[in-house]
Amino acid sequence: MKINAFNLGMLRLWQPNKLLLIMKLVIIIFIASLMQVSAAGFAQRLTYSKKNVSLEQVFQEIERQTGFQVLYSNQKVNDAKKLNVDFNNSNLQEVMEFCLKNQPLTYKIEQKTILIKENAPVSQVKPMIVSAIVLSGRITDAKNQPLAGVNIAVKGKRMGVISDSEGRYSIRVEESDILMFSMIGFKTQEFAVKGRQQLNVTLQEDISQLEQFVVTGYGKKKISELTGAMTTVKGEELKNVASAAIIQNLKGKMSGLIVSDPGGDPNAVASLNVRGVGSLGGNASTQPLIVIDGLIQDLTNIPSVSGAGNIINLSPNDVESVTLLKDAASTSLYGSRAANGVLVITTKAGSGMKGGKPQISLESNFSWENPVFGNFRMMNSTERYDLLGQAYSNDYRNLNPTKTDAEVAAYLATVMPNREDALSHNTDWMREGYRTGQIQRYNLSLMGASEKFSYYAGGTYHKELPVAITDKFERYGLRINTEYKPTGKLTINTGFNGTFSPLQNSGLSSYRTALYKMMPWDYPKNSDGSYRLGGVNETNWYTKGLFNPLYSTQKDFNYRYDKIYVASADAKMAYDFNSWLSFSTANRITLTSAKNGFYIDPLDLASGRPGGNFSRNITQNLNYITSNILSFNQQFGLHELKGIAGFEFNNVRNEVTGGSTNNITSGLMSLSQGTFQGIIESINEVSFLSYLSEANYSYDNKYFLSGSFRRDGSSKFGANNKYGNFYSVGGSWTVSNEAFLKNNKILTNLRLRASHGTTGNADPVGAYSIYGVYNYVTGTSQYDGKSGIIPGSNDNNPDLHWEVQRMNNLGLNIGLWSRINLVVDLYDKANTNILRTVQAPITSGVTGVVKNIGKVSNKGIELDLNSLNIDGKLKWSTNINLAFNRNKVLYLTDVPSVLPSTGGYVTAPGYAIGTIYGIVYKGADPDTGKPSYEVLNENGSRSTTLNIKDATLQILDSQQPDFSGGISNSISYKGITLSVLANFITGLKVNNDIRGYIFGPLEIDGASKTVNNTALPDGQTRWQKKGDQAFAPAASLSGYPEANGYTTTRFIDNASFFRIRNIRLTYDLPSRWLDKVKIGKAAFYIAADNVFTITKFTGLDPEVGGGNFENAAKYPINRKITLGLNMVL
Amino acid sequence: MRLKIHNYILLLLPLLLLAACSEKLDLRPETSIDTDKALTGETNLRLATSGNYSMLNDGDYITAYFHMTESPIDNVEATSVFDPGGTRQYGAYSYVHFPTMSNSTRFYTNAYKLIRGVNNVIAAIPDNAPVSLLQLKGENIFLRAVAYQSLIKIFGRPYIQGNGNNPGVVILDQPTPSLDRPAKRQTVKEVYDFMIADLLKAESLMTVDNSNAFATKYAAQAMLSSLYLNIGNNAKAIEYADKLIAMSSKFTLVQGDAYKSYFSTNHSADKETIFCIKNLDGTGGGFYYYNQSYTVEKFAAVSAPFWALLNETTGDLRKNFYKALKTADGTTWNFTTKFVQNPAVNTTEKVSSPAIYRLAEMYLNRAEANAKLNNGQLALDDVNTIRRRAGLTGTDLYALGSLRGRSSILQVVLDERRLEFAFEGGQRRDDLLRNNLPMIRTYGKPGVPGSNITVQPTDPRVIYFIPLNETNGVTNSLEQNP
Repeated sequence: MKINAFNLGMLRLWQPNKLLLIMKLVIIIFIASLMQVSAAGFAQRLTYSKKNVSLEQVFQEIERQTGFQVLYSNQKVNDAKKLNVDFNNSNLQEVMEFCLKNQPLTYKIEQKTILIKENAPVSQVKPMIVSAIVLSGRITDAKNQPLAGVNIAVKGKRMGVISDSEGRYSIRVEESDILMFSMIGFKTQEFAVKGRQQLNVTLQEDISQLEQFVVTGYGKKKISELTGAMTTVKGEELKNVASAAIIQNLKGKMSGLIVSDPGGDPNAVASLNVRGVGSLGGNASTQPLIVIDGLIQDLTNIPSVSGAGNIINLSPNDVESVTLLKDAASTSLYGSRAANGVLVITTKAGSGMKGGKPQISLESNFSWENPVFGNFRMMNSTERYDLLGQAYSNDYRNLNPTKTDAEVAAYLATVMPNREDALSHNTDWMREGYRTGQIQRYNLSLMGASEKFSYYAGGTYHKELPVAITDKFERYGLRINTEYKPTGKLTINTGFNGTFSPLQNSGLSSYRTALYKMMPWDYPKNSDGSYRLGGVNETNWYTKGLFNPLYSTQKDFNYRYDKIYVASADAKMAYDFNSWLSFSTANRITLTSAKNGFYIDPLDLASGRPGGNFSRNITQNLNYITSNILSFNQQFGLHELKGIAGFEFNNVRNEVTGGSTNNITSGLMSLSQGTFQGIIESINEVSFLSYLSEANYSYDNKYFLSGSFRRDGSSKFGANNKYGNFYSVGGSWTVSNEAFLKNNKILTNLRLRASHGTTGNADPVGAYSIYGVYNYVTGTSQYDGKSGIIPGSNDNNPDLHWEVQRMNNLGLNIGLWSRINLVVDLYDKANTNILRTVQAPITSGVTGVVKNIGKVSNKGIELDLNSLNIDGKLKWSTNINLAFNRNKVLYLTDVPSVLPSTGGYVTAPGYAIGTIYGIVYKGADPDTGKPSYEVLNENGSRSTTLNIKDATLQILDSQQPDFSGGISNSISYKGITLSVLANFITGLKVNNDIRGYIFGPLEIDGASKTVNNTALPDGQTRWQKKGDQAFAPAASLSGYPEANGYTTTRFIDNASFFRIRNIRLTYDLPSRWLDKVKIGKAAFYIAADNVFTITKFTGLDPEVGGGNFENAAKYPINRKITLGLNMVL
Repeated sequence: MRLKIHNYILLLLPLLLLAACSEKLDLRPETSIDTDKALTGETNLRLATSGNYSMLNDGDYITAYFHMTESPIDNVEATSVFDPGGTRQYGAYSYVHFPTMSNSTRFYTNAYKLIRGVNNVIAAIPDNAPVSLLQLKGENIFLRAVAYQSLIKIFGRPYIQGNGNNPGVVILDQPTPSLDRPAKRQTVKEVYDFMIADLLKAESLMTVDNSNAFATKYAAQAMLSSLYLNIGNNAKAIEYADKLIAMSSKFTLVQGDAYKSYFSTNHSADKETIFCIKNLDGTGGGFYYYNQSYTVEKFAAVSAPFWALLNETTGDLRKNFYKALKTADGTTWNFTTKFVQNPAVNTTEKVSSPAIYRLAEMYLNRAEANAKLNNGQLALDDVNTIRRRAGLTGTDLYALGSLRGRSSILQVVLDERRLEFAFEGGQRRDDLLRNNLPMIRTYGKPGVPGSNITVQPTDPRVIYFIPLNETNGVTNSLEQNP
């Protein structure tokens, strides 16, 4: 090795430090113990019997029967002796040893290639080709990652080698030879030797080929044979955003998927929506089905455990790919539960490796985060003082119209707080309640494969001190996936995923909500640093009646802790009976155990719970699923027929037990002390049994037909309606495979797809909706300490059955110049027999009855565009996804269509779900300053009124978005990559309810003496004197209570937005440096999340987490800066 | 061949599994009882009855009722505008009502929940059932009457207006399919007739001597006396009051120190209480009117006119039911302590066992009825019995010739009722509405809504709006109150 000064310097810099070495050692020992399992014969077998056969013939037979490629030099093999062979199901190792016995040859098996070499060192053998030169080099991908397993073949000769795990190769060639570098998923490249001894090659990914296989849950499918609509995102792209869970990271990346931001709470779960809202059961009923590694993973049914669904416990680092199945042809195989789409997640496995030594990856990053309050702001001291003055004088003038300005001023002097005292502090309470958050994330993974055994093991640690000052979040995760192929017919997979998440947050979440109400004149801490108590007895405390919300945030005063343990184990086996029939069984058991405690210290004088309180809940959730499938695959000529049939059973049982006690001893967390308040207990169990089948037919890779049928039963439905049948049919035509387009250089891909089918939804109903029940009265609700039972709040409905969705999809795939890929889908879906709790008349004494009612339609267009704009040293690629959806309720039974007399969110035929119905606010009346409202007169003219009861209720707007989408750009040059992700949503209105929250039912203009007010958004003014043309009405102490309960446009904002969600700059260290220290890859990156948002929404954040209004309890979103390091050893 | 057997076994195993799984589709609730089973057998019916009592004791029912009937009257003064806010006090006190008001909606909802619960039990017990079951049936019928009485007072105009022909509330006397929408509200008279019929039946069914925390025939009789008084049937009001006053072995007025601590007990020991809602010490369950007057909120202070009435004499034991406390802005007000049970033990001051019917009311029911029947002396005798028990003697007592400045004997009785039953479950509001008297507030801070107002008994706002959900057509369309 040539060593120069520069390299020496780098060597020292990049020498792995001690810690790294120790980690390597630990992992190696760990893996060594795993590897012992894999020391047995080769998987492939050969049956072949012939006399006097040439070695070349045997090799051809091996290639034919096993699919292995045999690489060798023609001359040498031709020189070899002829053989008599008789192999009967012999394994490859035996075959090779027999054939090469007594030959001057030896062999090596790498992946699916058998390499034939001379069995003596080069120098000791008579050189066959005198002029041969040894050419060596290293092969990497565009990201400078070493590529192992690349075939390096000499063109025109049966000679070649394979690159090793560090991408290195060495081959004897002649000067005139041409080398071919090829690997699946990459473009084949050719280079002439031209006397070179060193040749480093960068292989370019072949985009169209990369997408050849899509994991569709029950198997992999070639993208060319798909008849349905789906979108795939690689795991690599999901790591760009620093977050503990992957769902948030899907935002803006998949057309038709809307991810609602849950805010900055690290433990909150984002709400998902695919192709519009079709169900009426709220957010829980519109979440797509999650399938992880081929098995349905229920993520809803864990009440009382925040975010314990397994998906949140999936480390983004472990994810290989995420595929969203959208139309019936792709989802109906999941039948009953697929109406909201299916998100198929595949985790990493070592089987993707091309052999060689284990690959160790290390990723570590650190983030700083700050809350973002958007266009929202509370008043500062001066603004608040002015508003109070306006309120007093307005009220006084209204009662005493004749008073002079001087008299009003004299009155104000008697009622207003002392100006100097009040303005001596200007506390920004929002800032006091939040801090700069910090996130640390570490991931270490190990991946490797031998011929029969492959593995992936990844460990993640995530620690976050979020922006809310009371909170703390940690998660430890471990995932181990293995694959073992003892024989050619049997494959055994196991998987383990375990996470432990200790969390802590403010028990009385009101600490954050109360911040909004605090007067800026008040200050949280005394000069000695102690917190002020606030409340009744605090002197000079303006926010009368409220304690200082920060008082309770002091250490150990009151908090909630959660400890969530999730462990899931997969056991899968696949067995090939023969070349066309195989059986597979996949099983998973997931145990979630969560404990939480909620502690209020008796010494916390601000809690409003003088004796303190302690409550504790323990949740145990056991989820098991078994999926057993028989699959077949037959080819006759150009016809191919394949399919599957099987059944699946899933059971989820959730048990919660807990209790609470009052009058506790400070610092003691025991339920046996104090005054016990009673038991919390709930048991829920649901199960699903499904029979499923699918058949696919194709002809000449041009015409494809698919059909599926699934029959599902669920314990949620009544005896007569337990089962629902779901089916789909689909077809596609790959026009570009027709002769007339086959070699077209411009139109490289053209495919038409069409599908129709049905899927179901059971999510809107709980476990036992078909039964009416009496529940036990618990704890202190018991009368006179005696046990009792009361009717459940919902009545029974034994006729309940599945909600059914019908969807039609038309799709078009276009590829241009092999650089641009465009996918367009049109869909029309209708949910019928919608499950919904029908509100009963109150006089019935029940809240409602779950029924199958109504029909909702969603129609839309989706577009995905991938473009490699510039390809060369400078690379620039763009992905644009765009979706348009139109939502409409077609009819509802059992729900009279009379609209509420004070407005609200209505779900009525002819309108989108939750259409806003109410009164148009027309600003302050110039004369009186009172709020004015629009009246639609019978003759069609419009006028205004000051009496809200005379105003006209109108259909105002939709809270369902029209357009949603994302744009991502990635530019790379010499190891530097810049990527920018933006997403947007348009065409919806959202109620900025924080303003309403602060004043409760009284109007926002109630300038209470004791509660702060929101600053008017930019561009709005408040009426102050006669003649003012203002948006906000005159301030008044008691506000405008007659407007109470009415929905008006005053607080309804356009919630369209465009957000730069993520910018990331990555620097990959050049391989020539890394080579010297044997590091495969090292990259640094800096990333920013939620960089900025363009919106007119006046609340904190236009993404309200799936609700139709924004409320004060929301955890604001964060702006994040992340620094990270990524290494592959 | 050997391989094939393996193959078959491989295929058979899942089929066995399948057979095992299909049974698991029939899952039933485990921590609750099916409705059809819950109403069979004495044990379950007893559980269901106990559950109905707990619904009576629901904070969103009885507490809301206390709020809505005590806040709007002249015994109360709001200490501030909306410090600390909250709709409960403000809306009722200031007569600013609206159809989505949380208090009236919650109250209406939980009253009908209770009615559903009792109707289920009533229907499950035939009239020829054993005595112990008939007792349960009677108790449930009594609870139904309690629910309707509270509903009619909140949502129906006083009986005296239009002789009960104004809209009342929906009567449901048996379990009905939950989505069936009642067509209309029955009249106030129909509701009163229904309650009286119920109580007469309950009186005859209840034969077991129960504690005063549970319904008894005496509770039914006490309620009958009160109902008759409200509808102006004075003879019947006297008849039922007499029945209870005559039961001197069972009911007597508590005296002296026992009376001073009467409200701070759960009434299991005293003989005055006919029916109460009982809460055990330390359970922290009941707030009743108390959270408006006693916790940090300290919203509902004692009004100046009432305080003057209480201090008209010296030595009235009933002054022991009040306490001076400091509010948020540092000023001192008087607040009632009638809703603080056993303050020594319940340091968090949340527990109360409000008496719904007590013997004193029977005396004063009889007094009011006699006053209206022009039996002046009889009326004053009963008033003086109550005053003597309150520690008043001599000239502090009334005589026909010495009404201590009152214009009439009825006025004497009403003032005494006000003194005796202040803050107790809407007594004062009933007194005013039944006698067609205005609610006069000549006090209160300017700027506080509800200050310095006079509300005539004919004012639409002396009763509340039916919850919006019942009148806007989304569930059905009942007639709204004007």
